Amino acid sequence: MFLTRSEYDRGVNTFSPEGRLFQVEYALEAIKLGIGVQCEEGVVLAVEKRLTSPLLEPSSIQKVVEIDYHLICALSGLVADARTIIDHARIETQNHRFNYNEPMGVESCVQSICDLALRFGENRNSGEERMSRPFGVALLIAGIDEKGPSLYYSDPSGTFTQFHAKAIGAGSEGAQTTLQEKYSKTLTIAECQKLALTTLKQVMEEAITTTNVELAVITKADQKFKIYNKEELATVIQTLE
Amino acid sequence: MSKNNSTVIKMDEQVLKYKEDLYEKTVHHLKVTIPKKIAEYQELAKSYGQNSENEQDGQTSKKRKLDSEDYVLMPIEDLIKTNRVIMETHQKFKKAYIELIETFSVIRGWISLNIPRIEDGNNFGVDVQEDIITQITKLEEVYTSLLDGSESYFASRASLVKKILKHKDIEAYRYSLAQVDEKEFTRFSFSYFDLANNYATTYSLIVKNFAKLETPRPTNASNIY
Repeated sequence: MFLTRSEYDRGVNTFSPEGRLFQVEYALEAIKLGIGVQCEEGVVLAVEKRLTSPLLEPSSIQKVVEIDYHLICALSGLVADARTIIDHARIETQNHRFNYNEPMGVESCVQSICDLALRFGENRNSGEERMSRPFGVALLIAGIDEKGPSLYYSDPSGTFTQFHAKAIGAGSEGAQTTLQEKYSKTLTIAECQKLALTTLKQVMEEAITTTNVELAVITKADQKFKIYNKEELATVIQTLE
Repeated sequence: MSKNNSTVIKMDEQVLKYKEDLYEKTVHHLKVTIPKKIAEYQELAKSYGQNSENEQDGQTSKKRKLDSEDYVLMPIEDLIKTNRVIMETHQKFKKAYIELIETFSVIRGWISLNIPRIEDGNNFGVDVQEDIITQITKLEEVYTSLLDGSESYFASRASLVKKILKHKDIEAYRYSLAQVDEKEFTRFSFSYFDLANNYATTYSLIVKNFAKLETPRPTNASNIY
């Protein structure tokens, strides 16, 4: 019908007549499921791990990673791209500690991550470290600083937004509605865990087990993150039923 | 009207309700009607296919085919009558074809209404919708033409009977009448199989792409601008 259709969605540096960058929009499609919930006491991150074979070692798929003591992030999308971003974030936080002798603020860390996101393009000079395409990964960044616990969402476009509770990725619309219905600011950290896992359970195709989800919390009390191991995860899952 | 005061036209409530109605029907068709039809026609195709084998068991079902010999011995008065069994089956097929067209035109209507605004990119989902609409339209066309051509068998049979009446002593015409009836029977078996097949292939096409049909464009891009 339209000969010009889908001519603008090839180049990463061409705007469409309606002012859109389609490659960035398409990169958003790479995002898979993840959920983050924040409360007064801390932040909870829950992600699904796809185990394609029983012979696969579940611990080798890492979906929640440490950036610093007080910063963790759940990644969703192209894992390899995430590694570049996380490496960058780790260096930034260490740099901050080295220069100012204090942990980096959550928002500044998120900002430094998003700085990386739009450094792509076709006209690269040699030696310049630039991507030829947008990152295909979204991050839920949970951290704690002097302002208290906070949860940020950064997507492939380099946009970052702060959320109280956020579901990302395929099928996230339903999950986001559930979060909206059930979230209240007075939740305790245990209730947050429960909310995150029940919401995840809703959208996951398989039943929740200790191997196919990853759960991490970062609490005000500890000022440090904690990624749950199998036994701890099992006790949390038990409370769901 | 001044330039700054352009009218905003929104989709009418009634149209939206109509679409919602079509959606509910589509879901019902996909969950209940179509799977039931597939199973039903598969059974029927099997039973028609086995009919000739059953004859040897001496089963005298209503659907039993007559031998060519029977046609030769049959009195003229019986011969000029239409083949009851074939006529009944024809009626059944007509009903089946109309059902198929009705079912898929509902689904087609819903998909068509669900095509989003025309944009210059991110049209993969829209292409999927359009492709499925073409597939369904083709299927509907096939069955509409089958409905249109339903009298061709009777017409050719009638002209044969005319010849038999005219040349009562030529046996070959009687044989050819038997052939025409037999051919129609074989066609029934294939037709049922085709019905089951067409339902199944179109069904799988729709079910596999249902997410894309429902939301052809991703909704998560809104917060980047």
